[in-house]
Amino acid sequence: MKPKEFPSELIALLSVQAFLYQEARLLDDGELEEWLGLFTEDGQYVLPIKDGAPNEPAIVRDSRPRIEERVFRLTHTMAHSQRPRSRTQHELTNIELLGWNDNNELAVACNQTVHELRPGNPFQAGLAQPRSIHGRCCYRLVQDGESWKIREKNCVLLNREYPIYNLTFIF
Amino acid sequence: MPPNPKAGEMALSDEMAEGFLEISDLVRDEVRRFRLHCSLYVDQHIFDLELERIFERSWIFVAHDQMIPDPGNYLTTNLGKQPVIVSRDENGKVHVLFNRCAHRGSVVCREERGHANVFRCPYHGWVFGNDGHLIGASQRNGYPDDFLDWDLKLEPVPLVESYRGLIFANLDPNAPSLSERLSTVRRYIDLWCERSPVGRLSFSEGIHRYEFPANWKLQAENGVDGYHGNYVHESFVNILERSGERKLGVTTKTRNTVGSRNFAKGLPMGDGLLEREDGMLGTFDYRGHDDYCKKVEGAYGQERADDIMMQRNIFIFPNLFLFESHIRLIHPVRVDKSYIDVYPTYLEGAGDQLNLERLSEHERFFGPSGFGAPDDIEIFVCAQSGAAATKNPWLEFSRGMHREIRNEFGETIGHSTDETPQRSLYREWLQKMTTAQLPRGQRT
Repeated sequence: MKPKEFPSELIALLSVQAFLYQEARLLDDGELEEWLGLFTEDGQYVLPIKDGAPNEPAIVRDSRPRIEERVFRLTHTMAHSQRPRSRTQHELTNIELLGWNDNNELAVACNQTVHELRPGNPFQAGLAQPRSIHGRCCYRLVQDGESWKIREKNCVLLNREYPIYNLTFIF
Repeated sequence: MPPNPKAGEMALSDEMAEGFLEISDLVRDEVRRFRLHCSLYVDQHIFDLELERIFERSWIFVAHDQMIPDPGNYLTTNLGKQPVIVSRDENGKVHVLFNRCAHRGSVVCREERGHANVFRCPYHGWVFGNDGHLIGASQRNGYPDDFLDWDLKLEPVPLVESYRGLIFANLDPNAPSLSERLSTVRRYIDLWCERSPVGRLSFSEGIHRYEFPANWKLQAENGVDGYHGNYVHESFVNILERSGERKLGVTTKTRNTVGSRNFAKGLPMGDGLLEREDGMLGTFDYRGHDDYCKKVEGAYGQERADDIMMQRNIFIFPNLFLFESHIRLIHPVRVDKSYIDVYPTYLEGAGDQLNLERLSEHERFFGPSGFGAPDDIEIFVCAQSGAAATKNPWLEFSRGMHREIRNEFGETIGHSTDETPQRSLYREWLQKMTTAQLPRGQRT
């Protein structure tokens, strides 16, 4: 990288970083309708198990309509696995811009840890126990005015192929 | 994890030690009433006995043929608490071997799935073939000449048999054959396989897996429970209403229609099933897929095809389900901890497009982030916490007992919301749990 390119690269990195922190905050605050608004109309949200091949099952393989369904379920229905609702704290590290592709999408990678706890009676199984779930997240972002939209959020969980308890909040 | 389920445990174990309660007292099978003692979910002593008397004496599913299709393929799993390797040797024969070196007892394979001609013990480097025979011990001169006559090997599990690709193993060498065991549920296994127009299923590499802090039997009961759908899956019903796939109120109405072919069945030997002609929540809707339906009709005839296209959840005692979209296997880990493995099926001969749509519908409901199955699991966890309360410790499994009938196959038929399959499960549970231990010499 030539020295003169530094400022624009840095500005892009800071802008992406601010965008991802905003996404994390919306999820942690339960502002799921607004979170949905961060996606493009053809946006995808994926938690793969193997290599993401279409005939391999995924933990989550949401096209835009199914992301909307997921948000509807969490905001408007009696989803027992989210009553009580999970508290989460997203932590993002190792944010890197991997570069632009031919579709004018910026590929971004980061590591995320989601700390989760479901409030409630601590004598009962599954409640009031903090857990941490780790994943390597790759985004494809497109420019939207001065900010970004998500065309794909793909999170490869550390324990993707092993038994997982209640992953019904959004990672 | 539950902070302290011990209170209930201690009380029951003490009562048993004092001779107040026997295992046979824990299931009350009366004329119109069927009850279980809640210690079945929380008592450590009962859990230990289940592993010994049920999981070490029953035919347990270990793999499907197509999960290890080629010579050299293997997978590792547990039979109850005992580690085993399921491997296909160079001649295509399947072996189920204890995963324990004949020398000092280390496991010889730590991968879950893979391809290997040999298994090499990590401790002192002994090498075994994928059929279990000892190929060689390192520094062989430390042993006498007759060493090879000591018959050291990866020990085989006593009984291994398969039916339609489903491979089962049994730790009890005196158990009746698999074909005897499956005699009454076989017709449903056939119908399940025939969802594929060529009668063959295959499997992806990845699977869905759950862990949950509750007893394994809560899942065994629930998979054939036709009563909970509208309550536990209210969220999923709302999703179907939102998308227009189901109209408000339709769910309850169709299931209660007199004369419909919607049943809950209890089979001999602990098996059971839920059977519905109008679909099951979370399953793919084949209506409108005319090409596929024609293929099934062409392969099996109209009448048989109608039967094949019924939606069924089939339970095979003690821990296997054949669901419309997948095989589901329950692993007891601790009295209050279980794993579930969910293997989505691919219908050979049905075409890629239909299989992809089917998988997508499966993913919508199942898996740890699905819109349905995690709500079931939440209820298992709720039941686990509740079971620690001991005043009136009885759980009611009586629904529909007064209206069920027997048919010519020896099946008990209930309304599709009745607890008929659960009663079958617990009658077999009681039978196995109260059969005294085999003498030492006969045990494996």
